[in-house]
Amino acid sequence: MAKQNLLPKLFEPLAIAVLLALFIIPTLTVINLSPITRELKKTNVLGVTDSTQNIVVTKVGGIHDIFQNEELEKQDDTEYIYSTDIMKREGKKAYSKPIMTIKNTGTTEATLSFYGYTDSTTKSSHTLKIDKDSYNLTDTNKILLKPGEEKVIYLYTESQSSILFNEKLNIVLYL
Amino acid sequence: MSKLLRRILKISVWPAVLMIAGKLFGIIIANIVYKLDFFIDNQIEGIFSIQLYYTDSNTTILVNSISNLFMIIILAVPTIYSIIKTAIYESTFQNPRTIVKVTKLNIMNWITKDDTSFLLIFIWCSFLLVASLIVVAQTIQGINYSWIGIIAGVLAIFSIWGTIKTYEIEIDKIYPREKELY
Repeated sequence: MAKQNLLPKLFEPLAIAVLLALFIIPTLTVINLSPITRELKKTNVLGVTDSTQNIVVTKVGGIHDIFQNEELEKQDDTEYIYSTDIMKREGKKAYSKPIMTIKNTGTTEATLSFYGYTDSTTKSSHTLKIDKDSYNLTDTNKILLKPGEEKVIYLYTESQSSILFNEKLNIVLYL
Repeated sequence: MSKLLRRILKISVWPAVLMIAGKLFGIIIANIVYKLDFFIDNQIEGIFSIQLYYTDSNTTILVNSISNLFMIIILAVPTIYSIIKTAIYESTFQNPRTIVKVTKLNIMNWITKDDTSFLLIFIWCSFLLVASLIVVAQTIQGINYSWIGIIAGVLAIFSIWGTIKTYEIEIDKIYPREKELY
């Protein structure tokens, strides 16, 4: 009895599947290639989203004799500007006030950097106090926030001589 | 494996490749001409894992429209050519005037060889129909220019009509119409 070649019959269902794939694959590819609109995620070189979105900055506020007209403005997702009027004050005295709270709500460590400047050239020393550390505002400083950590930022000002006019202080925070 | 299936597979490869190539080529051309920045992101939701995106909706519509236009043109040109060629070829058998016109236009090579079949036209028309329907659907969704959607709609109707017309021609070969015989 002659042997029957079953190979073509076995290939037939496979060929039908290939034929279907020839129609389905281009259709799905064309749909997938159609671009969409989306906001650009800020990602680092490793493709991990930075934790900048996870830092919450809030103003403490309240009434103070020296620090008045406090404002905290969000410039964009990565930049905040805190401004206050430092009123005329006596020399050789230090004044301080809690001005902001920063909280890392993310699951990774986050770094926050800041610097400050005034609209006058007095010899006052303006520093930020966070926990036990002091940061001079004339330099750019960095703070590391652990996941879930919350810190209160104190503004501290001191001068040897009396200041007889009001000063405007700005602090720029980069998330 | 049957000869028919083998032939269908052979014919289907080109329109399938051209459909993807047309879309891709359109995207590349739009990005080069308009100097656009595009982004590729991988996502774990939905059917597709990789998605091409733009930050501005107007840019998205522009790129999508240009790429869709390229895709349907690339598919429509060979389809229309095959349909016209078959129509002229069949017409030369019945109408001597067609032969004169074909000679004047110097396209005699169109009618010297019947290398277009119903199967070829049917497959190309199917791909053109699928591509046109995608474009029409995207026009309804508002992510494609309406005039490109209209062109795609017209081409979809044309491809259906072309398939039916070619089918009629093929049927006439087997069962000639009575009025032409008597």
